[in-house]
Amino acid sequence: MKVAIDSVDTLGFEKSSDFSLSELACKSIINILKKTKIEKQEVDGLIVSTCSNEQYLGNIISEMVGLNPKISTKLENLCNSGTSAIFLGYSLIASGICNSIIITGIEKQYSPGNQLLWDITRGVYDLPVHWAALFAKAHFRNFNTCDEDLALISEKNHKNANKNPNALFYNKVFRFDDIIKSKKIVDPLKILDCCYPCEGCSSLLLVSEKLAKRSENPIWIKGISQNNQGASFANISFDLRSIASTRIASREAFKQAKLKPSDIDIAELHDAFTILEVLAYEDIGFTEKGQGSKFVKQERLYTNTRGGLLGCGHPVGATGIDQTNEIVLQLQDKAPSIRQRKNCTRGLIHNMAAAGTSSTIIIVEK
Amino acid sequence: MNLKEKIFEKIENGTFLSTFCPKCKKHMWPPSNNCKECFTTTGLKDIYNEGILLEKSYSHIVGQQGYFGIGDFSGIRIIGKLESNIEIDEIILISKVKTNNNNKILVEFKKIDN
Repeated sequence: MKVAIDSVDTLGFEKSSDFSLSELACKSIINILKKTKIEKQEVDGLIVSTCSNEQYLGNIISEMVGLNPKISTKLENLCNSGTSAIFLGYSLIASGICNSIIITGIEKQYSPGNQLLWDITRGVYDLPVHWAALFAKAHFRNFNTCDEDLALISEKNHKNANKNPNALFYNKVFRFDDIIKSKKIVDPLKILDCCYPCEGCSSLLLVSEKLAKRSENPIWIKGISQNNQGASFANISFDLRSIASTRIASREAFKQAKLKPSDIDIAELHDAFTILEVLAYEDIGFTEKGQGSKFVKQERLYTNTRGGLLGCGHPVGATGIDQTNEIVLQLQDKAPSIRQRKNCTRGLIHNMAAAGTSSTIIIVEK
Repeated sequence: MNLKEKIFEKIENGTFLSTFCPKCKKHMWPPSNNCKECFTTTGLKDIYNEGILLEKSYSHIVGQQGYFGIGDFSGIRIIGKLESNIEIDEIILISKVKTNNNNKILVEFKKIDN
């Protein structure tokens, strides 16, 4: 059974607000219900993506907005939560259990999802920037990637964020020299190579093929796959030149979609750190291993047009949904005109968690 | 006591243990009560403390300043603090292991002099 994305909504990402998680979610869900032609009574699923420890959020939010769905639940998968929720919603509709599911991602800035405390293999180096720096060092050593290559990615994504009013860094201009000279965090990564944890909420509505007939501009999920290699950095660090979960999820998603990387017009890549965008180009198959930093200069693919995690900020549970929303808007030709790209038919979303221990790939088409 | 607590107790005495499958003759890291290959109940055994440095970097974060790297110790990979003169692929030794107030394992590696 085919599954489509009917409508999307994003609240502005910011450092913090006085709103509770459930209040944020309700605002965004109400926006979705106002945009869609699907009636509220027809929504038979709500999946809340968040790393918050708050209890029973699915049912609390359902009650607050007046939904009585078949399934109402919360899902946590660290930074990969958002697309994991889409994966679950897709599966429930594709199997015929549900017809219409709202996926909403919410996070506060100081989320338990910002650090994986369980992983004792990282020793005292438990901030994500430490594993990201080891990936970067390996790439520099093996493929002559350099600081300037990473700075170009940061510059591109921050420039894109300047065209996205929902982005945390919408009003902040970072030039190439600012990025190169920014404060060192863990060599070779500087502060402007790193995303910023923030508050945010993004939602979307998934519908069955039957309900999609009422959608103005349905965007079809052609391939969706996730791969999980475990949870600890130690178990994926046998090859620091590559992220295995991304390679495996990508291969499976392209197989489902009967497409290849060169068929993709636009992609949202998980750039929590600049080096991860380089690795994503290679591991998804947009370019050969070791050529990621050259690929970005070739501008053969629209990437991270909303600003990426670097420019938008990273509200952990909402990120994967907001990445998907951007691709949907671009394919629907509904992105704000300043950042709308022309002639996009197919898009890809790449979302991952915890040193690449898990990755999701979604391929969509209009 | 759970596994982590048992391992941390031993670390306090300067011994670095992890779980070991007597059937597969393999260490489990992170520790687990059962072997993930054959599900045999594991026991605790010293980690072989000579390994190879896989990758290294330098942290500028307050409280963590200095070189650190990931070492492979017979299939177990651990991130620890490094002496500055160690290069990738050199043989290293776990020279010190302790726990800190945040319930983290603090490991130090040093170069083995030939």
